[in-house]
Amino acid sequence: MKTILLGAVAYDPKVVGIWDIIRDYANENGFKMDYVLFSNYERQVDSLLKGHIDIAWNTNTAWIKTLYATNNKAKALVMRDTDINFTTKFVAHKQSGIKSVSDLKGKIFGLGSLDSAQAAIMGLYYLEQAKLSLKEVSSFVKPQADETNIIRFNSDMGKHGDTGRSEFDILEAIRKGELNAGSIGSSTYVRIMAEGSYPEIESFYTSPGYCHCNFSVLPDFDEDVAREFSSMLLSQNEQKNRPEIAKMMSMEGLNEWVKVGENELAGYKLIYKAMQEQNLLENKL
Amino acid sequence: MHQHSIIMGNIPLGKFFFLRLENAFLLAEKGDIFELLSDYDNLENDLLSWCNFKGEKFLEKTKINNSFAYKMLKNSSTKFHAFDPKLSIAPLENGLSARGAKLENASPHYHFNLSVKDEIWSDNVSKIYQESKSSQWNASTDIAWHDIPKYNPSLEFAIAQIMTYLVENEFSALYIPSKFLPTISPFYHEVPLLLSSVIGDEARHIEVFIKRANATGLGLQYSTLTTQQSLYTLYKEQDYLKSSFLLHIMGEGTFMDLLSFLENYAQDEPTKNLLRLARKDEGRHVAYGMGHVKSAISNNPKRIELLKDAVFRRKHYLDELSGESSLLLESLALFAGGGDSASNFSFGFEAVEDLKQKMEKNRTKRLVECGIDEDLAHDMSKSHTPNFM
Repeated sequence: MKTILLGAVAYDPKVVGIWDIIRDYANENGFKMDYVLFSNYERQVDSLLKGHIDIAWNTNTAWIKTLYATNNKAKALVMRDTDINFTTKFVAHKQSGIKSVSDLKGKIFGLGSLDSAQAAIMGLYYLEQAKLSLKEVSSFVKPQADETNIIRFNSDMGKHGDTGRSEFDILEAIRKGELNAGSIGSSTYVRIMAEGSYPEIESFYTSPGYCHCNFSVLPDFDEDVAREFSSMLLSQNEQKNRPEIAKMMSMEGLNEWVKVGENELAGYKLIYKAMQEQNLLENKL
Repeated sequence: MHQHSIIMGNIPLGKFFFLRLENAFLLAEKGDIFELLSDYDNLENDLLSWCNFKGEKFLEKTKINNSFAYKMLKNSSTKFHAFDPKLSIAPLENGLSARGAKLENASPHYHFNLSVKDEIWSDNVSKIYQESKSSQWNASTDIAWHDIPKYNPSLEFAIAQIMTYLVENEFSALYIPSKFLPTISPFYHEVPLLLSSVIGDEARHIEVFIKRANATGLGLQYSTLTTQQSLYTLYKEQDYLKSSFLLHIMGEGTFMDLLSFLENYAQDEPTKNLLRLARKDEGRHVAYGMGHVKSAISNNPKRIELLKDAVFRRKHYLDELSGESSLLLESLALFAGGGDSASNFSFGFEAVEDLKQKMEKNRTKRLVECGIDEDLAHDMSKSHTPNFM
């Protein structure tokens, strides 16, 4: 068997530690694998499409770009349990009086990085579903009473929201009173609630669940290798008592690996639709 | 499966709320059900998100009178487990916790070299530790330093020379257990605690012997090659059982006879007192070593071969070097005789010869007590280093 080359995006230095553990585990268990790190998901998707890498650890946005580029034939193998039922949360200051999406009329709303499903793509999608009159602006100007001004925080573009930086930009702007509300992902929301780092902020809307990352491959990826790769990862679920596996799972934010099935794939449908509406399907380098 | 209630009342979502929730799930077993009671009726979305990230399951919300019950399932694996306290090998996951604690999964493995009970244990370990706590003394305040008289220069030198020798021997007794201490699994926590007290005792002895050397006005004198070579063979021993045997039984056992001899011939009360106190401490160290070796031998009599080998190899090595420390022997004879006149010295020299015989006899007795047959015990005793330690 040839050595399978896996790509991941280096959104943080800790990524090296995570993939070292997974690579070593794979090789110890007879699955020959190495990894390369990219600085952004567009380059990773391009490399997958060109066959420079065999498997890509993709965000939902990167997966959908891959799907679009392969006429919807690319395959997703495995994901984290925490990639299922991911949600977008709309948050506001507890004393803002904003209790539902309809209260956003006449308010300034923050969206995170353009390429982040949780902080921007799905946030915008659900704002539009609510039939608000949205107006993209570039400074904190007070909107008309029947309009909602949208401000984007395009930080760390290319990382598809992995760094969470744009979500913290939104939280800071709400804290300062520059924004009335904003869109963040459920992972950041759970983290700030548990840490108590923004006690003045609460969530007034939770989107329906959708899926986040997965291991994506091209349509012609060898099925036996796909099966071996999936079994290798899934076997780690029984190895959680090994310190390095527990460490990797905690760093990568999962409780267990899950095989991608029809239900999981359905969790990407609305993101696909939202990306189509927002003209984001094409993988632009 | 257990049912748990978490009464949150009016605690709002936030750090404290999640701390309680997190800990409740942390300590529960997989499959346990939680009913979280809150005054707030809008927590389901946030609890659902929390459960998703933690690998738990949110089940349902129901209204009970004026409050709301949020039902959740512990779906993630059980995180803590207890170990059988009777285990004869410390569990790898035990890490730095003491026996009896429940350990969280995936704790780092320390790989303590000494994690087999049989290799370190002595049944009297707790008893000796208790005695140690009630026998502590202070080398500064418990010795009447000002009552030490001045002696003639040759006796003062003998005292300073003996103290110099005692200090280096006590350092070996301080460093050897220190070397092994951090390699013992805390699963058998009684042993590291006892060794800590041994180390404390030896530090006090070093302090008191340096102070006594200084009280002669001469300070520390000559450290001889013979003593250093003998202690070096003891120090470099890597096996704990052999080391414990050589140090506590052969060395400190012999040392007790030496301290008793010195106490007997010391001419002033403060010096007698400090020697007596040091000997009492050494008695506990010998008792641990005896208990340890005795139990190791009774569990596996073949270990006698190991101990025999340790003694004879050490003798063989030392035989190639020098023999007795002439400086020490002369000082001991002077000390016992009380001066350097011919008659004093000849009396003292006889006393030292008697001491050596007594040491050999007592060593044999201790070895027999440990379970070694008399002939071998006698041979081993005779092969002990002429440095005493």
